[in-house]
Amino acid sequence: MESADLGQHTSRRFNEDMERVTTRVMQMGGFVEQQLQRAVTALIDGNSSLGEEVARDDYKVNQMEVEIDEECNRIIATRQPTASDLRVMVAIIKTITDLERIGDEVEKVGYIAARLATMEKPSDNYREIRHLGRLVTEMVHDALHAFARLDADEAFEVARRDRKVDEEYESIQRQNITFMMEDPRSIRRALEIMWVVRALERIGDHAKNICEYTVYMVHGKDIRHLSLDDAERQIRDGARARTGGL
Amino acid sequence: MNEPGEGHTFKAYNGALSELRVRAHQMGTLVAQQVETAVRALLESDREAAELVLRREQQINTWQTEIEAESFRLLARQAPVASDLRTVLAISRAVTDLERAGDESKKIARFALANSARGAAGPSRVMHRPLRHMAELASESMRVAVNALDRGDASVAHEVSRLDREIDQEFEAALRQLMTVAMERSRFLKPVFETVFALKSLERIGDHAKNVAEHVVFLVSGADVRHAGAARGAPAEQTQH
Repeated sequence: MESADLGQHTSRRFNEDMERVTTRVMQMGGFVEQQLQRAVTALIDGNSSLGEEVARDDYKVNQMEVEIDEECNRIIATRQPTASDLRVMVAIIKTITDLERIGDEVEKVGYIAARLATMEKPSDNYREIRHLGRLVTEMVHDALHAFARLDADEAFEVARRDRKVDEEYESIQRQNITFMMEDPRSIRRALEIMWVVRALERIGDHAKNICEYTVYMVHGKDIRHLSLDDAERQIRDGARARTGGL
Repeated sequence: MNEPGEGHTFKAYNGALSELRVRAHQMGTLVAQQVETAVRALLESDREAAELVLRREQQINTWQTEIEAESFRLLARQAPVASDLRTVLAISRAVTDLERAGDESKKIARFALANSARGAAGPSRVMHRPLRHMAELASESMRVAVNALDRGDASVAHEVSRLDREIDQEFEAALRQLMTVAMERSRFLKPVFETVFALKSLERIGDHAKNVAEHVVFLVSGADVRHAGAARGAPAEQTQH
């Protein structure tokens, strides 16, 4: 009786801890998303002070990561969570690492936006970058949504979009090289743009990582080094094998 | 590890923890090697070396999965506390950085393969020295960081940080030089472009080595030094790329 009570207490406290941490992860994610949008806007509008502001605000993301990370370590140490709860903790720790790295990429975009503001804009007015920016912003948003709702199906769907991001990335870089060859005076700008596109592509990778942690949380399976198709198949087969065993 | 435990459990646990360290060290040593092999493949158009890097990359990924699974089992079954808990957490963070560093070497090896497949000459001659030098520095700092992780020695953090700055400087210098080449001879733009990414990969490997060193500091002292100043609310230092 007593030990059962104790167990309930611990798990209730753990659940409270978890809820608090999850809320903070979502706040951090929301802020990172906002930073990303502002960075792309700064670039497209040629708004150098906005770009600088975004870059300056990255310390807030770092701060949130450190705080959440410490909180998680404290929970693991004091609550000694069960295996499935521990899996959630691990997924959270990993997710905030990726969010922090998204923040770093956004910071770079902010600095570059500030530098590019003084240069002449390309003739297409960053149409392609605007598009890529929208793709990755949605990926980050939806990856966090799937994470919060423990929705592995949505996570798979979002992770698949990374291929589209990679294709866009390749095509913009190719185009960028053509621009440079046609007009060598644009090389400086084109190289800066190259880093922006690269940063956006990386953000897509990080969003995909977050999706993989969601799958890990839900199914307990590490799918990072599998193709998405193989991962889904293995999870389906595993589920069938489990129900078959009952 | 600091307190006396109970017979078998303690021994098994202790063994699992040191096993974890050994395996992380093994993984890190291979990651450090990969950097130099990949750059050699690129500069000498050595197909076999490039393929070796890609094969080993698989091994690195497998090790990452295994080490993380083992860390997880330790956390779940033994619920380690204090410095043991920090060791497990630091190791699982370190292997994430090691795997990402490995990924960068893989990219360089792929670039080398693509070059040899289309009979391209690869990076222009002027880039050989900076590429080689950056690879040496990146590999060296990775080795130092990984050895420190194994020994739980936080004193090398400065050394790794110094190496990282040196890599960054070399990277900036190489970029400027490359830009001049590009402006003078715009038909070389494609190889220039790809060389930029190889340089960037090396620069990132330096960052990952620095991260590993920071995980070691956390392991030893429990202090999170990843964002110097962040906890005090100061804006981070400006970075260029």
